[in-house]
Amino acid sequence: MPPTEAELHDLYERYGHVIQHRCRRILGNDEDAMDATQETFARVIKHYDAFRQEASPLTWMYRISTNYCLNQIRNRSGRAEKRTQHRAELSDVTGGIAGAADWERLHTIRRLLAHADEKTRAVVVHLYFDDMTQQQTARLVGMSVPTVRKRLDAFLRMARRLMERDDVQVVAALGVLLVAWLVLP
Amino acid sequence: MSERTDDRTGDGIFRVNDGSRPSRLDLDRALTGEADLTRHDDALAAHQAEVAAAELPPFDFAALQARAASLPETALLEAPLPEAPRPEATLPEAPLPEATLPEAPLPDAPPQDAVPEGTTGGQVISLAAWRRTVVPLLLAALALLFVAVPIDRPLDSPTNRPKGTTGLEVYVQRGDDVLRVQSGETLSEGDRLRFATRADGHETVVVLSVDGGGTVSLFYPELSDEPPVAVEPHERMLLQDAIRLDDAVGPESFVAIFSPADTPAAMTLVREAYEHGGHPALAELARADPGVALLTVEKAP
Repeated sequence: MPPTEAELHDLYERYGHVIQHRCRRILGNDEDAMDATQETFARVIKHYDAFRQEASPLTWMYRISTNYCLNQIRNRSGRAEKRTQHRAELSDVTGGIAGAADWERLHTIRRLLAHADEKTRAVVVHLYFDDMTQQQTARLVGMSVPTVRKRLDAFLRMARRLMERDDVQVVAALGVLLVAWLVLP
Repeated sequence: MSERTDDRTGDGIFRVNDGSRPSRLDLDRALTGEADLTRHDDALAAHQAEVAAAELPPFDFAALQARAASLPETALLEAPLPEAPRPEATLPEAPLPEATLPEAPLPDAPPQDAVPEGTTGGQVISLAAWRRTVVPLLLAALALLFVAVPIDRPLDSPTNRPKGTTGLEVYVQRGDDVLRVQSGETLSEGDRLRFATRADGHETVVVLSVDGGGTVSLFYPELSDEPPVAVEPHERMLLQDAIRLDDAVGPESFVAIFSPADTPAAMTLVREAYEHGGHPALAELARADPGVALLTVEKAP
């Protein structure tokens, strides 16, 4: 049985801000985060019976919104996206997730995420966007802790490859600029 | 149990929450009244301010109902939507510049001693001539460099190549020195290890470890749904990347299973042997099966 307007309104008041805020961290902008929030609550309506049985409705909504956000990120990755400055950005990534400076870090992770496989994306979202421990992540995604570690390691290696590729691109671009500078009047 | 790390990425990058602070799910659950997090009042207050700044769309029940009605009956609760094409994390096919070759044939080169530098046949080279000849060639060379530079540079290959039996060698970095680990040696948390295999004709291997608590950690390949990794059949081969030992203390056996049917089979073989008799059973397995190599160390806090 779907929720009444009053019931859903209460849920919206209680969970809406945290879901919106989380989706914004994952997706990187308000507009997409608003869509993700609406989609999450639409699924609450759709699966209200299951939702009501959850010990932690928020964890359920986290899972739902994660799937939606990952699909959005994957769809974005089909579009051309320049992957420049990874190294510079990654070099700043040294601490935990806290504070405003964290946003740039999330932006970097978000872009790298588009190139990871599906399972790795979910792990990375929980580890970095939700700041979960590996144990918490393992429980939420239904993997063992060693598997979570391996997904994380695979992600870091991929990140490194992209960084190295960017190095090559920078060298090539500088070379082209140098040649242009030499030969053009 | 050990944690595999990426040498090239380095420590400190992408550090994850080690449990010393609440996760954002913990904080959100506290904010929504699902959990109590009074031990982290400061973090909770900061998080609350962050969340409060989120711009929440106005509640529109009719719109949400309409959206819910449009969702398929099997609206996916667990699985993401079907895979869409996405770019591979490999080198792109960089398009060569259009003018990669000059359209007109290059003039015959005059004898070197007869022509002053910068001239052809006594005539100064014009910029247009440069553009037609040198620039495209340079651009082509740059494009070739862009495409051809290997992303994963080959690692140094050891020159010592003993033959005659399978083997697993373990190396630990101590300062600037890299030392070979002997069976029974004591290692510590944070030690970085690398592995080398002697395959004795085998072409694939699975490398894993069993720690003092019986936890099996897969190192090569990284994931159990990946095939065993290829090794040089007749040469000693240094495996890529390193692992970093975690804080689990006690004996830890590193095991190489050569030519397993698949990765899960290798893991099962090791797990069952350990469950049968612990680390001594693993040693017995290595003695009985020439396709199994093992090295056991002690891990100290």
